[in-house]
Amino acid sequence: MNILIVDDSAMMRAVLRRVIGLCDVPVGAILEANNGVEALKVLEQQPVEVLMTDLNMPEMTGTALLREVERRGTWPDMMRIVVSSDGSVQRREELADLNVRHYLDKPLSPEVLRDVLTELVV
Amino acid sequence: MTSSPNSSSDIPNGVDSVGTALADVAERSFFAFADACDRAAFDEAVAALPEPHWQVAVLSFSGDPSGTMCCAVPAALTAQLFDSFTGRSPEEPEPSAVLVNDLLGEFLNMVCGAWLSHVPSSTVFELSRPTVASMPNGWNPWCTLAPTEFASWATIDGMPVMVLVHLEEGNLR
Repeated sequence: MNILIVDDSAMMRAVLRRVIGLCDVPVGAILEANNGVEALKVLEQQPVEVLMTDLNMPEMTGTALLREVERRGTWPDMMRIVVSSDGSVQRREELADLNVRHYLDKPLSPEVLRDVLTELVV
Repeated sequence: MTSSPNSSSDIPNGVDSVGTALADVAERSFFAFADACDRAAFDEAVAALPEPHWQVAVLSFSGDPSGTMCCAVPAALTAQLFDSFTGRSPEEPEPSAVLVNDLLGEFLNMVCGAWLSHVPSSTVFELSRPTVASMPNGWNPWCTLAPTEFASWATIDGMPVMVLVHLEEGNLR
């Protein structure tokens, strides 16, 4: 199970990587991207089973990334997870038609992420 | 159609809601406890700092409402928050200034996001990328609040933290 972490904060990507490691769930490669543009390049080049993306990012937001992923239809089985400080109802409604499987609020607890990732393994 | 908030009195419990967001983020992600305080207690905590070296992070938010949020945090507390958030052990190398600034920016991002997620609004909000600066030695956070501004003061592990919100006057309809 390859995971792609998309966040413009290098520190947050490192923390998420560490949290994934603490989940005790078998994981393959943990890939990283700084924004939606970089994320698409990674997706085009490597298999990814889980996409974890922030929303507020420069160049290409997480919302725009998810819209493009949905538009292309190239990765239908990829689990899409949003990790964001925006926990508003309005944002969740905006993403409702983009096949987001889980919407996780920052700050993120390891237990929540473990339960989400375990879904794919079971 | 409702008018956009342009002062703390227009946002339900504006100061309290920012304080709640600060406490929530501090506790859930940084395993720290933020205790709300008044300006006098905040100033006392500032005076008690062994080293008055501050960092300030600021970002803008757009939507309903729109404005800016900034936080002022003693550098010693930022370093502490970094270790708590990342799980860094004492044996690991000291983090770079870039990563520490990244942490403070992310802290502000989470506080602002947590606050705005609970402010009544009809639209989504957007957050800018935070900007972080280290302030000159001897700088202390002080301000005379404009009518469109409000601040929340707190201590985290005994160290003072200030979060200031400025609402754009263009929010008025």
